[in-house]
Amino acid sequence: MKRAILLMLWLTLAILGGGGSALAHAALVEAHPADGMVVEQVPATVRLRFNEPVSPLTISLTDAQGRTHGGLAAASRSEMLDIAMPPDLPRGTQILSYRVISGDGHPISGTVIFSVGTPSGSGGVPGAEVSPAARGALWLARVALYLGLFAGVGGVFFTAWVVPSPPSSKVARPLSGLLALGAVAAVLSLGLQGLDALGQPLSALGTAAPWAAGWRTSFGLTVAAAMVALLMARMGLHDRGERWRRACGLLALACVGLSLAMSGHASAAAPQWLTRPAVFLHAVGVAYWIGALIPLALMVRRAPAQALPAVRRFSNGALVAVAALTLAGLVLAAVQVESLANLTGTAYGQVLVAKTFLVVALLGLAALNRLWLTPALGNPNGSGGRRLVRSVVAEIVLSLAILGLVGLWRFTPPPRALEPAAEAAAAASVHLHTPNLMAQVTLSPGRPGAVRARIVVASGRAAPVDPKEVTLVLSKPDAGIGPVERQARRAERGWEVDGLVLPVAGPWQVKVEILVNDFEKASLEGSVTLRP
Amino acid sequence: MTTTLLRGALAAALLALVGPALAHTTLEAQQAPVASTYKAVLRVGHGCEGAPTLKLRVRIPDGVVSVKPMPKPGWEMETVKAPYDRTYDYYGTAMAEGVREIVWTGKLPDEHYDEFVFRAYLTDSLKPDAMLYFPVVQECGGGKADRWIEIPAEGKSADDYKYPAPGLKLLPAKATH
Repeated sequence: MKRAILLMLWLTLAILGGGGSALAHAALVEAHPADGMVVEQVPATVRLRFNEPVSPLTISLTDAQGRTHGGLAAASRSEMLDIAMPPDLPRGTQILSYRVISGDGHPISGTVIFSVGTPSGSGGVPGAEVSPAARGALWLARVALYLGLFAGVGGVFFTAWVVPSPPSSKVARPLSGLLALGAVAAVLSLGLQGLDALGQPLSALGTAAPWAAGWRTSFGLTVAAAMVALLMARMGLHDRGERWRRACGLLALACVGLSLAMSGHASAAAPQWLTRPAVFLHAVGVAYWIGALIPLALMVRRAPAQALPAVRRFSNGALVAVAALTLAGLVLAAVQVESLANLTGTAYGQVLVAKTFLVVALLGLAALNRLWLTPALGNPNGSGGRRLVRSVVAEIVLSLAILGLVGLWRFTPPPRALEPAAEAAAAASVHLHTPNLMAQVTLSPGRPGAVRARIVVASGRAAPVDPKEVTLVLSKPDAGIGPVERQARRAERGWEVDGLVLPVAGPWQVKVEILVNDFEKASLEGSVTLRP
Repeated sequence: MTTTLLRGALAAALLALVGPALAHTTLEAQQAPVASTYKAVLRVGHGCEGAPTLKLRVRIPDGVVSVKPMPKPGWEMETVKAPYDRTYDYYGTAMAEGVREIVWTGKLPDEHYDEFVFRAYLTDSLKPDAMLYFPVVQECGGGKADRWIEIPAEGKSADDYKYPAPGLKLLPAKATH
């Protein structure tokens, strides 16, 4: 027993240590050649740049004659993806479709269309959409996993820490059922996650590929931590010694928090030092609360008066848990949604609004239980027991609905991730580099007029650098426009120049002067084209 | 008449020669053989956009060792010592660290000219016929600074830059004695 716990602890630590590099939701920032561009010669490679490191899942190219080229060599170097082009591409419009996966475990796909020589018709856009059946299964598995973690593991924690005696078989049986359900769901969702990542149909679940792909995403860590949590809870449920039950319950609860903090939109958001602990707290709070509901209802139904001390203890702990999970939830919502308009304007926001309504209703029920129904339990002649059971059952139903809603978030990118993608679509940008330094200059909007420039500087190996000063120089000699020199100001992400006015469309010469330190200055040059 | 004309032409030619040197911060001796001791005289012709010079900082490039700045009345002097990029042979002694930066602090009004002197050994690890640059940062009143640190890229010369680093051309080592 002791060894098993040590092994679990070690596993948990190993998982913790390995999960440090998750990143925000990926979005394509730039393609070279750019989407819609006409180039004279077949490029040797197409370079895709994302806002964070990605790995390629599937890449396909449909050329102007409608032929599909598979198995293109794609080299990913941090946020850059270089895709080698077949040399014998015909003249005309080529369609390059990609599906990549980023640190938060969410695959994103997109298409870059470029033309060699002149634009032409093409053989149609290949799709990589996941079937509704696979998505439905993924959602179901996700909800079942939540049930196992929150109701199952949370329930075991409740029986170990809040109830003074070991659980009766009447309480233990549904809990171990929930744990088993969670374990099955955890394993299944690994394969389903892989299907989603590869864009394959449900029937491909019999092959090894989706399972391996699912494991490689950050969701693999979530499943591993979830399995540890479920196993620990299962051990804690049936152990005789009170101390072991408590240790197992506590560790299992911590693993629930870890599991959810390992992957997902919320854990992937920046700043990570804030979002990961917030997800952890949120999950632990939820497990404490939801986990107590089923055992509570069963205990109160059987013997209302005897259940009173446990209900009181739970109620006191719940105050702390609810405060923590509400605070953490608000922090995460603020990070993810960014502005009030996004609450109604995006699918993610709509799910959040619906969830908030349900949570408020749930809080109302909880307050009712604490303030009126629990004290009534002490009255031996009253019907407080039955009322409390009814109210707790209502809480369970509401919680189920909330978990179902939360499962939908799997399919809705948060507003914070949507914005960069939309901005990138309208911007003009250029990548400049020397062996030691590179800079990405983005002009948005990418049309003549008032323009805002953003400059992101990195070392030649894509490591971040912190220059002392960055100066942007733009000129258009063919239109007689001399250098427009502006010192950039440090912004949240990189450097920015506001209030630039670039009067004409066409190619502009760009120079970025970077003061690396007091004595070293680098100058990077290139050109960027503004659309008319 | 002819002499006046000639004098005028001479003056013009001289002006054209030294013109940019007056504006920029430059070295007096602009060539020196490797494996020899070099006396660097930095000529500072003006402040930064009219502001007086309050500090002059010189970065010592790799391959230049045994640096000794000359004290300057009215100016405080300070050196920053750090390890070299490798060890250098200095008359049979292996040198692994030494002065990498010299800082003079004082005050030089914009309308005055001054010179800052240091002595250094140009090791034989430096390539003859290449340029050697001593980046200089001139810090002035009002938080202004002129950074004479631009090192010309391949195929360009110091004239192509607004703030070129003072440089000297390295010559082959003199015959050993």
